[in-house]
Amino acid sequence: MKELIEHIVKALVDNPDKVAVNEIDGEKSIIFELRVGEGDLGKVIGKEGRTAKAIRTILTAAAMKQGKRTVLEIIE
Amino acid sequence: MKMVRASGTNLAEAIENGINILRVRKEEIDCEILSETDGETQVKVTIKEPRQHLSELASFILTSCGFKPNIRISKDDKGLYLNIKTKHTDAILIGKKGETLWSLQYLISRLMKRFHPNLKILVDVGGYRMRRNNFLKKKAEAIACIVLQTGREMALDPLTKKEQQIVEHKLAEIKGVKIYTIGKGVSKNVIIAPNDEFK
Repeated sequence: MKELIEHIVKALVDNPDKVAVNEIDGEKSIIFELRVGEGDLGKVIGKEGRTAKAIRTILTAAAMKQGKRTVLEIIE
Repeated sequence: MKMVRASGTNLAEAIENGINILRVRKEEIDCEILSETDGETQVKVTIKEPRQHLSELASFILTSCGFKPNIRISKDDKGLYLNIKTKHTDAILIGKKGETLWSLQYLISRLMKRFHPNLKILVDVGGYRMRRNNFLKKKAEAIACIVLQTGREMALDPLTKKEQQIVEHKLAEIKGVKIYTIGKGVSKNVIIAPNDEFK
């Protein structure tokens, strides 16, 4: 899943080198920390938060198979 | 930017450089060797045909989420129609009221738009969209009948924009009813009402 976030976000932003994903695996939930370069935050969030919402929904669906919850934090 | 030229000390490095410029995965490109000398290799890296590209992208997204998709792509008059089938996990991919399906649709078309800006893609999971469309058409027709008989307004369930279009399209055929919406956001409701002009 980490790979997926990285790939999607790198395709969307201006500075792909500054994209970093950190995965914190818990017992019942997985937390992803997504770091993007300056000025790219808006691109990841998208119009009215559509892109961020879409990524979160897909992560939730993927984690549902393992019976876990996911949290995606986007940090500039 | 469907095509770039890249160079490196050997073939693998040259392709790697090309991929980094385009920001795609190895599976999404075709490469062609332009020149090859001792210290330098030049390659031309091109994005694959829309159909193949779409299938690679969709299978990557789904497999990295832990699904085992069976992907079928067909061409219709508007663009490409992508149907995903899985064993026992279709329900997860569709989500509540088609939420996950919407996300898949949005992300896939957004990622494809970078290289194929004019291509229209419709993503479907296990024929869900078709079933839903047929169901909506039937329901709209049935409710319109009741409205015409009783002369009272009736509400449909909250619909997405696309679903609303389908209902509107269907009701345009039936004379004597009109459609309007109340509310905003999640609680936006479609109302079918009798049209006085035809009385």
